[in-house]
Amino acid sequence: MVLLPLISLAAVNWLMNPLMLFNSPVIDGLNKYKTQLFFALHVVKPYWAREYDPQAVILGSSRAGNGMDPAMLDATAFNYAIPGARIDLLSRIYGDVRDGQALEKVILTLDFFAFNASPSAITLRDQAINMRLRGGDVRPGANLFSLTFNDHFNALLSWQNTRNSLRTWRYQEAAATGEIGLIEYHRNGHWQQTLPRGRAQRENFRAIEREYMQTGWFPPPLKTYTFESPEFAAFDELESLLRTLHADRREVFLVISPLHARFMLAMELAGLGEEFVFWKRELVRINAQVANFYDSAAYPLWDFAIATGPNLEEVPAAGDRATRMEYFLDGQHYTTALGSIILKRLDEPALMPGFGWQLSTDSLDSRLREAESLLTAYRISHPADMQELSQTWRTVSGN
Amino acid sequence: MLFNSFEFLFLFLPVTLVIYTLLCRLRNPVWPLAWLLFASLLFYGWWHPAYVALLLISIGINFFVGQVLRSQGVARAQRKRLLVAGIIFNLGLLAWFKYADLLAQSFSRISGTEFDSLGIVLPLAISFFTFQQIAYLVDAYRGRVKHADLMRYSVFVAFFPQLIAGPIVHHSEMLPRLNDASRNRFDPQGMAEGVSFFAIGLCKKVVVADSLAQLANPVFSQAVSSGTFNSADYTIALLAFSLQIYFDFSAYSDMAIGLGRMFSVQLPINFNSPYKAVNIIDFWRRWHMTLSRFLKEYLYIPLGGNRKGSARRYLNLMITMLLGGLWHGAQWQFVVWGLLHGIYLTIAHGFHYICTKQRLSFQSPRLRRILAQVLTLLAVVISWLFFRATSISEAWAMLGRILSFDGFTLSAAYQSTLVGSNIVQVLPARLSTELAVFSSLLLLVVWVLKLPNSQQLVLNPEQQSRQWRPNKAWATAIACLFVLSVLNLGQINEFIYFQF
Repeated sequence: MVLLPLISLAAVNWLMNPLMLFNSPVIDGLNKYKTQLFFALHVVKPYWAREYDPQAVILGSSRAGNGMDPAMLDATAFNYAIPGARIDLLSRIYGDVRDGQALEKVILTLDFFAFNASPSAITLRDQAINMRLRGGDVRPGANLFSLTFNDHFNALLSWQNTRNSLRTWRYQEAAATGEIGLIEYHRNGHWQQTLPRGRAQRENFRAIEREYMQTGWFPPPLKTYTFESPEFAAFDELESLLRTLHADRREVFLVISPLHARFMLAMELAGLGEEFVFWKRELVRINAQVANFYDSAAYPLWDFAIATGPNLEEVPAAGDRATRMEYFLDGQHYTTALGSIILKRLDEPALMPGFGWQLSTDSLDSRLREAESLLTAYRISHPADMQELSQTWRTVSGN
Repeated sequence: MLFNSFEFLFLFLPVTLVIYTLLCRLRNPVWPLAWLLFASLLFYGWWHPAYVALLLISIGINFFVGQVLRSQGVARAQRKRLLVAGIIFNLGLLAWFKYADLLAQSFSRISGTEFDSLGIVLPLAISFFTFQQIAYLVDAYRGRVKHADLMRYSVFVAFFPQLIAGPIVHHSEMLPRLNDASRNRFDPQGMAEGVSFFAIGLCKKVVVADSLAQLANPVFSQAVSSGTFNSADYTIALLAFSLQIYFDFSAYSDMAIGLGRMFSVQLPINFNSPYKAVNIIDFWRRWHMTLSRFLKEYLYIPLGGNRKGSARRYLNLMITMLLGGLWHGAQWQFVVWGLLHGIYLTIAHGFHYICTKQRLSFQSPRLRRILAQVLTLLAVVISWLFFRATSISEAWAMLGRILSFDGFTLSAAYQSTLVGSNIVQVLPARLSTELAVFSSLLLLVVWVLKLPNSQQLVLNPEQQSRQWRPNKAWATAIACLFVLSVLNLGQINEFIYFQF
């Protein structure tokens, strides 16, 4: 009497598989589009990762998660990007895969927001994933086996996941027709987001800019951007991660994620222009310092956050709900098309030479000057965008 | 491992129960006991494998000391010294693992020196198995322990249903039963009772207590100085916590008793509708009954009890309650909580003495009862503030905010924290958050004040028609409760008493 309803429910949840924990069949119109998965990625990704013994791994935030398709690499690769991941979380995520026998290559994507030591709401999600990583924070009584068992049973029998199953089924048609935004997930960790049919892309840009000006760069309760706090020193975390990578003798590429020029202007308006430059300087310094310590070459540090090439792609006009950009979803999330260019560029630097460059201690000053002049040129040539951004900043900051 | 977890419900318990039932068919009664012991140690080791050794060492040393204390060939003075040594050993373990950090922190505060946490991990259940074994040693010294062998003694201490959060089982309640060969038979009635108790307890925990935690936690986790919440928010959060701890502890007690019955072990009742108490003395006869029993038998009475005059009696009461508070946790706010209850008990005993002496009576016994119940509940709820707050100063600050009456409706900030909560999601969308919260809490207050508790429901000897019986209707009801509970297992929340 007890088992029958439970088994039935488990069967339904297994089939619907809203969190892609199981290898259930994908059925068009029933469970193809996983509309409830995004905020559970921090819980399920460690289980996806365990299906692989990757030769290469991509670390980063939702930017890399959306933009970098591991299938573009000539290796078995896994995209271990986690939405909102801070640099300390990336370090722990690397710890989850570092014992892999086949692992040779690590692509570490670096985001400015990930170095903010000001506390934010992502901390709870960080805790959730930390507990599920090999070598992560294990609370007494919550060992990996226990968590794995509970997570899988939870996915089969919880009311929460049953709701996810119902909502997944309910939104299939809307997802298929583009009525709602769609995210396609792949077991290799990569996902691809598309905007809803009726949404103007410029509106998406403005929404992200507003969000970052309000809380993204200045999370509550302190509402500040800082590289260091009593609990967390961002650059120390990076240094520690680089030391581990050197000790493990991995082939590593450091990639500063591409940002649309508009987004970089938004950052300047929010008063973070100098911090952004300082951040790049520190990345170069630490990269060189750690390499020196290990008596090896510094890792290639690629800067794609400059106002050139695809980062200058025109944002469709306000009200234009049809045009879709090739390289960006919003100012910070780039598409697989751009991600593919970046991944190819890492191996073939001659490809699209006008987009992105390597930063080193020798080239740093000149590159930073060049980046500044490129951004200034964009600012001058796009007065309407500047006005729009200024208006957003005035609204958000109350000035 | 928690009772309200998938690995316990679908892996550990079924396997343990099935193998235990099969082993009961063997002629040798040692096998089922050995299996129970193994399963209990596995259960304990799930939390932290290294501390199984600590548990085994504690069991071994206490058993050995107990054997010597029971021995007639040892001189009384020597036995007394050994008893003292045994108690010091047990309390020493407890002091080191539980209170060393508190003492070091307090010393550094007084002396103005810098404090570095000692980093001692508190072994699970140490407060419970320590008290259990102290009682055994004292009674062994007094000649009140009849039978014991290492196997049964080990099962008595480590038995997993009561290991991690009580009840504090007295050896006389369990050891004779473990010696009884007739228990090694499958008992359908016992199994039915056990499953019923367990299902009721599980539902209380995952559906009720955990939902109440969602109302209390957002408020208690923020400093009062942040100014986020108003007096209505604090009041609701305090009431929610008062109900949370009630249902949490009640749930655990039910589940422990239920599990015991599945294995033909009758664990003592530990919880008897304490919010129905008509005075604080009555409250402590209903709340954590086995702890009250231990404190009375092995602390209050040895201190002199009420045999040395009124002043000494009240002093003994205060000491007992202070230590009882400290037992709950290594933080000074638990001491304050214990102190409050000491004061309450002193006042209650004093009042009872005056009424008896002066032969005072009340016109309306019903009104007197209602007033007494309300006053008792109020006193208990206020004391929970110190139990739950992160510090004494935070508790006082919260009390100050409650009494400031600076808001009679829930603030927008508090309501925003309740958006995803079970109570708000389950009740009709047309209902405002405030109404959802108020009506839920009111229903729960009526539940705790008026409805029968689990043992009254399941174990009522008179077997009235609406009481539990092992029939299909009740089986269906229990099955529904179980299914509902399993569906809500998603968010694992530890029992409050788990941390002691």
